[in-house]
Amino acid sequence: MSLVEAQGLRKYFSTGSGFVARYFSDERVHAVDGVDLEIERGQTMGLVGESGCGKSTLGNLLMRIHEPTEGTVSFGGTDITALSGSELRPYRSEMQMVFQNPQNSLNPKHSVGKILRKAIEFHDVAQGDEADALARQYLSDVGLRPEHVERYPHEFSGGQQQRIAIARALSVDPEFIVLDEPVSALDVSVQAKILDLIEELKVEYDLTLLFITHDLNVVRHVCDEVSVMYLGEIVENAPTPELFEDPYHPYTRALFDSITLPEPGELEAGGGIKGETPSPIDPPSGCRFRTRCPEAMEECETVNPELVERERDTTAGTRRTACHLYDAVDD
Amino acid sequence: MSVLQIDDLHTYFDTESGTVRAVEGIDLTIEAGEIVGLVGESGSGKSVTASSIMDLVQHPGRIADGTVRYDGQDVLSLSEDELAELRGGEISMIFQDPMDAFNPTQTVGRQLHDVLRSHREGSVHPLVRALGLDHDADCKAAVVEMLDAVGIPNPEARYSDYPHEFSGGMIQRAMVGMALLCDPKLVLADEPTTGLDVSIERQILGLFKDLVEELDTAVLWITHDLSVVAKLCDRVVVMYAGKVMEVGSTEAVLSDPASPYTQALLDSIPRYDRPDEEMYVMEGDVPDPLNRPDGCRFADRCPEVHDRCHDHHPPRFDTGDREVACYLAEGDAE
Amino acid sequence: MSEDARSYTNVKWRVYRRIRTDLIAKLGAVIVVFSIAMAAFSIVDDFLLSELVIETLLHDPYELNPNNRLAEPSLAHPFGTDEQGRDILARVIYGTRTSIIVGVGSVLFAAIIGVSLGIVTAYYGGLVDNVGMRAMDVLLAFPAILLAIALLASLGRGFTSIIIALGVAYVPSFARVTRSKALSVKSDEYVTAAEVMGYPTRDVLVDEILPNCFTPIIVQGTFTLAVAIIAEAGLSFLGLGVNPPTPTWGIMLSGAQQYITTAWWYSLFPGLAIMVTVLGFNLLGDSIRDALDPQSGGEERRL
Repeated sequence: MSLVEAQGLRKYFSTGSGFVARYFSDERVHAVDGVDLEIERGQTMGLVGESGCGKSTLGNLLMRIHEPTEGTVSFGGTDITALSGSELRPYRSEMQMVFQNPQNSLNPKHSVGKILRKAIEFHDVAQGDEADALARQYLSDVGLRPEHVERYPHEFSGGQQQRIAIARALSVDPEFIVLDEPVSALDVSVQAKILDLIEELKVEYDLTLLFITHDLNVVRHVCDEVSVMYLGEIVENAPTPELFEDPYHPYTRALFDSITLPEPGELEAGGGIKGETPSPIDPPSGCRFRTRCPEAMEECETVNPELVERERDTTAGTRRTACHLYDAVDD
Repeated sequence: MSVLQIDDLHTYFDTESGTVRAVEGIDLTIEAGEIVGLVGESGSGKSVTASSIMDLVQHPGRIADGTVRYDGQDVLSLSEDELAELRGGEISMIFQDPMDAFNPTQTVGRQLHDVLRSHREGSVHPLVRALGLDHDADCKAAVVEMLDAVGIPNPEARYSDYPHEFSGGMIQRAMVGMALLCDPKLVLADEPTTGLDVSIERQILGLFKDLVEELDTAVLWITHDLSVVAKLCDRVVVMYAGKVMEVGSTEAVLSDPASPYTQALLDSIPRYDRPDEEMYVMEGDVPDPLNRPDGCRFADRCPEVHDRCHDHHPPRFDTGDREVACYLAEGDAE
Repeated sequence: MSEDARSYTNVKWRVYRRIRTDLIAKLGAVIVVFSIAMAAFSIVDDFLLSELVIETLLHDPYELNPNNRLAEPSLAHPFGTDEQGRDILARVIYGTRTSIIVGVGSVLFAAIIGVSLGIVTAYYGGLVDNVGMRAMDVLLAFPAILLAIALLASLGRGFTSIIIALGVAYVPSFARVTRSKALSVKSDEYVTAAEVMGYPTRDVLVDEILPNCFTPIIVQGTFTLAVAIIAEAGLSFLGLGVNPPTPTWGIMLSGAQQYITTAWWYSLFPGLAIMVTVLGFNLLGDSIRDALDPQSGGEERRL
């Protein structure tokens, strides 16, 4: 059974900040619009897409930082969207999160020791001296020195701060961690170290991960399975090697075409995606990608394809894709 | 004559805890029509180099030594007024966050118009500008043409839109348009595509390259991203801890790096086309800028370090297609 | 790196450094420390020692001396005497405590309510924010001093009333300053991280958000103190302040009114006392703000 499961998840945000807009306008941003997602125990699921596609909002919904407009999230079989604040608390230690900006994700007024001890003692993993020893233990697990508990976040470099943030997430002994662009703000040499650390800790602590990123190069290296998001919907979902071998959805293919590698040469003409992402306030009818899709058909304008198992004529195999180009597989 | 020639530039910051030598002896030349990439990680001194070129180093920083020549004239000895004139016209800049460069209370078209107008006819009295009396149909036509050239759809209409009405990609296009509007000889671009999605970045890189080729403009493109350099730049300068590690044609440096640092940097980039190759993980951290090693700046992290590397930072050896600051290249030096 | 970073980010350290190096800041700090010392002295002297010290050094500030009315400044009475023959220097010193107590008291009152309100409205947003901030707008619509007069009329005279009256009038400024800072702190990722940890809302507000809002609150507090001292003097001048014979600068000024042409010292010295104290707090406020604002400080920058 999957550890984390989202069903029919939707999140709409009101656009205006004013009183009138908030209560009377029906203009809403469709940040996440009908997402089903299953993450198996022990798996690293990649969630990729361009900025504004709703990938971070989806991560926040799974963590229940945002309340979903519709749909449910279940963790280990329990529907956590129905839980009250205090009922949710035990689950907080099971599900943790690491953020994009390390310098922004640690309270500058708290020492590293306090940040870790607070979490450890709150979730009653340990108390007092034992909690302190545990905090030091986690710091050395993420490659810092135990005596760094005395220091404050600003005394560390970006990469070290991200290590502390990872230590904080680990400190409550979670099963599942959402990593929201954990290496995007870091230099490449530091990025490689942090990715290495994440891989290592995943095995050591037997974690299940959701890795949110825009960088497909990173995805290829760390994820077992990938979900591609576009304008609030998951358009394709497949095991990583298969997806990179043979992307089905035209959006996935376009995304792959726009990856640049550090190899000298001209940009190939025609690569990449034309135009810009349409507004999530008023997304296109039918398939959301049809306005930029080189293979758009008449059907795409009216019917939004569902994310179901589909078969491709040219190659063998079935995968979950939301595209009319392929026939759905009947059970 | 080179458009830009930097010799032995040193820029220091005097802080309470000591002098931070952000840039220690950079040499750099850019010829007309050439795109040069300045690559480095945080703390390498690449951005400080850029601000030194325009003499924009903020207190407590100072240019301790070296010369910067633009078109033969010594930039560092120019007066504020002369510098201001250069900055607006012949040398233009593109920033990472275009929202910082545009005034949110004026339309984008209007701001481009003002740049062009003051470039063409000198400064306008602020009152005249405030009343809109300096409006010039010629300038407007040129601005609309430029907005069209940078790929902004429906430029006539977008002329009177405000910066916040543009998407991230579109405002960056407008910024490129503004930088190229006065037909500059040199463009300094500081990480202009860093915050953008890859597909948008790709569009802007393609467009920028075409425009610059057409106008024969010299470009210094500052970035941390080697993939951008690979697709855009003719030559690349790799910086580490205030020093130049390797300079040469992009083709040569990226396909066969001579400096172990460049190699390490390339190897730490994950690549989707090489899923089975482990990313290289550099040992240790970037040296503390207050307490840098005497020898090669990269010695402590270098996989091919020798005893002599710890004594002196190596000079740059010219190996024909590039210059490399590494003793490994000594044998190949001409 | 640690020493350098500490001098850059640590609030106390930066304010301290500013005061050490900047002459204006030093002047402000000296004035503020001096006035607080005077206030402390007069409280101890009056309530514990029954004017023993001041009587030995100068004169009893309460003692009437009809034979020596409106005496010019002299060695015996450096600031002269008032219309009842009381020593003005002694009364100016004793007056400090009224100003400082009312100033500090009303600022604390305003800060406690205003800061709580600001943080709560910023964190919850929506209806809470709308209701809370519209209430602040209503309070702000009245000039602070008029609001205080109206409140004093219903609360009666005395220290507590004047502290509450001025405190209420200054709540909106604290609420607004705190709210705007808290809004930006709230969107920081460590606040989200605290929510992900499941910390109770009270803890998120008090332990995560509040400590990061202190800078503008301290600056606001210093400036409001200066304003409160003027307001207290104004209310005393109008006869709405604390009960006589407690010496206050406002009451002294009010008494000096009719002698302004004949006894210049009577109005000059209490007036100077108000001016210098207010100036002191303003200078200190300015330098704290400059020391804490990386935009305007400019002497240290991180690379």
